[in-house]
Amino acid sequence: MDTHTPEKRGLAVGFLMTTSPEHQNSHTVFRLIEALLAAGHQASLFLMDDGIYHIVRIESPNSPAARLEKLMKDGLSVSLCTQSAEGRGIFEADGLPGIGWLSQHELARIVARSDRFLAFGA
Amino acid sequence: MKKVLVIVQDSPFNTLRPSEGFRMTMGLSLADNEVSLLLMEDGVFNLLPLKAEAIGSPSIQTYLEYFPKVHVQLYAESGALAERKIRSLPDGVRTISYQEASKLISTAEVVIPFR
Repeated sequence: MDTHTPEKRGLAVGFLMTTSPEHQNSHTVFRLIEALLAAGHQASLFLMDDGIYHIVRIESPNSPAARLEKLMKDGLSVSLCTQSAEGRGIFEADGLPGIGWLSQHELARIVARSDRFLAFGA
Repeated sequence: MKKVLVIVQDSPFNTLRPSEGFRMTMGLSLADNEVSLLLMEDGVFNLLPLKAEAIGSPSIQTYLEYFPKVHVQLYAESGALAERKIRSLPDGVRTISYQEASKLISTAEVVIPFR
């Protein structure tokens, strides 16, 4: 049993992002996650629909994937809806390593265990 | 168990998002969540007897059939239905007023306006 209060162990904050990297959501979500991790909280990000495009590797230090990779190194957990990805012609070999290629079941689990949950759509 | 409310406000065919909202709602029921879906504004058009497959769009009929089996409650806002002259609804849809919709939102622990 977890006897720690959320304040002591840090909040578990879940994020859902369904928009592509060109949307303002990307910047907002990345900055929020950066701040949460720096403050000692835990963050999980689930990508579905056009949110999938964030994981595509592009050789640029400022690419969405590069920003995501840095956040993952800082402790962000990232998973995605495989059906959304494959429907867009994106497969595991196209994306960053370390991402969970999962299903809507994983989103259900993130929602269930999060102390806070934020959804970013169009 | 966490109370989760998904809100769909868009009509079925401009984008695939409304049907994705239904798919996500179904998925949310797979963990320890008490899940409801609220249709507001043009979202109530999703309740019409549509033949989405005729234009190559995903159909939500399967979700409508399975929601009761996985204890997902589907709500439609009555004002939106009246404005759009939608009178016949699939089984299991509960119509609620805007005030009741506000209460649903305020009592949910997670609200996902899906667009």
